Amino acid sequence: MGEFQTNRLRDADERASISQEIIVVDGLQKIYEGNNGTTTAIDSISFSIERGEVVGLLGPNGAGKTTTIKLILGLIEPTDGSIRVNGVDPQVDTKETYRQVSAVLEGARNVYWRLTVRENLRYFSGIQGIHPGEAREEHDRLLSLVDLEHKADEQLRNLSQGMQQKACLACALARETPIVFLDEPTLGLDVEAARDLQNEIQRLAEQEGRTIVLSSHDMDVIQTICDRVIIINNGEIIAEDSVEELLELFSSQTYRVHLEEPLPDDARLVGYDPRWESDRTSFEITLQSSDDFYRFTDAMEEANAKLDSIDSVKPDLEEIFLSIVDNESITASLDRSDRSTDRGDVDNSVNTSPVSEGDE
Amino acid sequence: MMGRSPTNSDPLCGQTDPSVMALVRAVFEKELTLLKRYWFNTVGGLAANYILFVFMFFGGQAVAPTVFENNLTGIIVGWFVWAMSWSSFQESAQTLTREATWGTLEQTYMTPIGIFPIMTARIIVGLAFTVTTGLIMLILMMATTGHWVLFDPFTVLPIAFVTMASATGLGFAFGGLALIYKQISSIFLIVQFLLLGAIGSPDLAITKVLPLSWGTTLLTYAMEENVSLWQLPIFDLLGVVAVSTGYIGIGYAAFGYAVRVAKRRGIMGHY
Repeated sequence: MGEFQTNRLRDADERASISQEIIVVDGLQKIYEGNNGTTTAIDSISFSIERGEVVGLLGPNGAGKTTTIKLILGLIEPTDGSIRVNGVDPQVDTKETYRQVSAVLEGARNVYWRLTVRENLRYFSGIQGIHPGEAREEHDRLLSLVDLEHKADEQLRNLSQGMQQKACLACALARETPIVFLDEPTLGLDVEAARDLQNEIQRLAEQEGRTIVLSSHDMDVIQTICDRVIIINNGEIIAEDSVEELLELFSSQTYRVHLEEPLPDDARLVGYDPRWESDRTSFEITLQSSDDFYRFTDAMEEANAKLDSIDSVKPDLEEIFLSIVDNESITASLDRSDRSTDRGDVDNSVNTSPVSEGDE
Repeated sequence: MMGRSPTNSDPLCGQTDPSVMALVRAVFEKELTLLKRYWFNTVGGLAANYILFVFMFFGGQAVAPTVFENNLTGIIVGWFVWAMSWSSFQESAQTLTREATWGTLEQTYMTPIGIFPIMTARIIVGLAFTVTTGLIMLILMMATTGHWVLFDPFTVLPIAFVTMASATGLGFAFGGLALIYKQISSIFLIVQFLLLGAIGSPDLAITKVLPLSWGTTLLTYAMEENVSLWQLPIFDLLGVVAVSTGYIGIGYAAFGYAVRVAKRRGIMGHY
């Protein structure tokens, strides 16, 4: 292990000085040809991920998250575009690519259920070319990291789904790669098991310093763990920003307004579209700027609305995600008639901020 | 919070050159663990094979005793080769199908060593176990028939290994088909009979290119006549090697093509 560590750190220093971008995706496209025509799974997406970053891929079912991950992993051949994993093309140099990346794909379907957790670790280290005997200490550390020390000698098939998924995570980590992909790691888990695994991934992100790319439907996982979020829908990136920025952006736009008494039915807030509660004493409104905010308070006065309080609404990531995806769907349906049937004609520039309601 | 600062223990840049010995050891350990853990299945497979031979032997003796008596060595060696070749075919073809089903095929693919060396290591280790059980079977068959053939391990084992390689090549090709079409178990059944046919085919120039055929003939001759490896005709030895190399080459090429198709269609991990 000593020599291995030394080489690893020497390479690390060399490469760290070269570039901070460890994954670069440029104009990536995947089109499937079938009997019923072609399907564009990924439509010319571009993004990059920095060394040590934890990035979440969000999107509804069929949005293209898993396809994107498998394209980066070299498991699917792209139709167009380029991918570089630490400067290496996964389609050309698989040997070097798989020194850089490991992955947990599709829940617990990545390990041998008839082997014990430790036997799986030894096997996956071995096929990575790492002597299982030399990796024993590392395996003990990983078992401790994912809290499976007491289950190390149990066959996977006898463990709960949550434990199986933790074992998958440990096996991916046993490959000692600097980049780890986790595709839906909490899929199918109950709330407690999902929270437990989320804690393990968070611990992993903080302690291991690896670059982690995570796809999940579980917004708690993404919000808690990820530095940055890339939202994909219909094979396109519709938003890309840090979790903090997304939360900040949306919280500064939406306000909950409380009135001292119900607004008379005939009173109107001209130029605004408030979302009223049924008793007409409170509503939510989206404002774009501070000027807009002052104009709104003037409009309140003109409408004789007696203001009690105005609170900035802090939505969670789930609300932001739904807002962005819903908006994208509306935009897409409005634009559909204008679009060429060839999706290659679409403006392929990457969105760096979410499409907000006000952008319409 | 963009880009956490890596710590000193961070694996920033993958590993050093992977060790092939580590791979072989990991594969051997895994296969041995499963054989021991599921010993009933291991013993059951051997028993089923033996019972099938016993039925065939005594049934055949009742129907055509003279033919059986005259070809006993051929029958024993043929059965030995068939049991091992079927096992090595299964090891390559069905392993790929099962791995795709389990989701471990993609994990096998994502290694710096590569899927071909890993599969090759698995097949060699699998063959070693198969030959071991094959030898037990050979002793059981000879004890049952009372017909003891000479077994020179330095002659039999190399020829048996090279002969099995042609079945392995076929296994890779059919494993590739399984990667694309997923459910091809019905074809596996046909292959089982094709292998049997190839082993039992007459010794003609044209049948020598069939998988297993030439090797089985050579093996039968060596065991029947007590001929050592270095006493066998060099043309025959090179011929067996050439045929097996051809099948391995075709199998690897077909599997490589299937992997590319599966990657293009995005179905490598599907099941």
